[in-house]
Amino acid sequence: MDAVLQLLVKLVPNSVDLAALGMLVLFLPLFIFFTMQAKSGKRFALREIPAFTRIRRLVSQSVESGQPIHVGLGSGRLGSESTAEAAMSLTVFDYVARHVAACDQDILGTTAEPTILASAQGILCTARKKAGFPESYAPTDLAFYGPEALAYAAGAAGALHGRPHLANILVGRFGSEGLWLAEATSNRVGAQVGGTSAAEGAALLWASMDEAIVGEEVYAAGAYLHRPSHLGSLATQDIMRIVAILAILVGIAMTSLGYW
Amino acid sequence: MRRFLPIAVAIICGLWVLADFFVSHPLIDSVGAKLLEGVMILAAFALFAGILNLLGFHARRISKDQKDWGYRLVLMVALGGTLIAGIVLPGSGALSWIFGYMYYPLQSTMAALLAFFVVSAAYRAFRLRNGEALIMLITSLVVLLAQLPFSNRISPYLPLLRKWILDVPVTAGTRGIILGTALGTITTSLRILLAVDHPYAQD
Repeated sequence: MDAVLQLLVKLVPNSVDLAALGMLVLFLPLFIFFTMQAKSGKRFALREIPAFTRIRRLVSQSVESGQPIHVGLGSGRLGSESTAEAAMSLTVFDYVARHVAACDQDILGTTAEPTILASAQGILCTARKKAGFPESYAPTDLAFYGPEALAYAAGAAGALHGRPHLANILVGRFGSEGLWLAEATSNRVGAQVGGTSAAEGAALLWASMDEAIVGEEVYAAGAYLHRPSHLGSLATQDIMRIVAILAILVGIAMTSLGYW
Repeated sequence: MRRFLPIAVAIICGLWVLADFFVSHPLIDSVGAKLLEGVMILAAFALFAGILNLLGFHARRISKDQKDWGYRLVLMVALGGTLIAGIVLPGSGALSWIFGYMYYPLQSTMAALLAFFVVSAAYRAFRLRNGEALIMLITSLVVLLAQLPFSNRISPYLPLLRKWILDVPVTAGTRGIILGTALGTITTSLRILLAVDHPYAQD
């Protein structure tokens, strides 16, 4: 036992982020438990998020009418602090791509980040193959307009001006370029839906979108659209939110009573 | 195998980098540093692939003789010109001329347009559709009025009210978003790390 403790002391340096380690230890068992439950078919109650309902309707309309949808994947980079947001933008793109590919319809994806571009091309290629129309796949259905945010907005706006689109869905990492893109194309698209988790960008998109996704709602995209396995992580998130609220209340009480 | 291999590699690399964050050991540290270096190399290759996509995207439309082919040609010539200037004359006046007299003015123009877009977005957002829009409108008007140099003359309480709005409801809302985003980021990262979600290897 002493040897194990000594090894642990040797391995874990003084600089280790104990708070981060504590969070991981709290999260992991809950995450595994709820994800296993979700995978075994257990359903969790979900409050309605109008933006996701709207995305589902828009995809159905696109399939029926043949009008394409534009999915803006933003500037989140895989392998950076915006990886989680970038992954959610790919999840939304996956949902739209699968549905439009099933009816061999067009789709346009745009991004300011090349790491996202490669993943999105893979998603679209798989969707077209699975739908039985591999010949319909064109790598240029996804456009990269350079890593500069406003250049991306200008390029994507140009693409939307070339052909009217049924909807403009912007999900992922967006700053002021999200507002730029949404406003510059507001008369060229039928509906605008989207959001980002960064507080500054979220406020700008909230003002310009018909249906906005704000903050953490971005991370619920998979669970709401087409990935039931994501329900487990959503339940974990909710439990941890309750823990955070309780911790805040305890902190307020302790500070007010002079114990802290 | 095509699906299993990328998932296995991603899990091993992800757990290794996570271990590197918490544990200090020469082997774990050196391999972790190499993996992070690899991410940068991959990102550089992705950028190269992105440029090829950009060229292919516009070349295809130029060959189809679409009405805006001229703009696309300008883009391709500008891309090629800057690339050649950067490779042949690195650190020269030519490159700084391109940035100083073309890139930065264009960027400033784009940024300046944001002011007008903010106004048009605010016009739509402040339409009195529901109670939320009413609260948003009143709050914005109070904050805007209190920004004026003579806001004290309108009411001495106006600057105090503005400060309270920014310090209490706005800060509370922003912290709520940040807290929720942090929880969402952790769960999404765990999903990717434990291969519940794998955007890199499709089903």
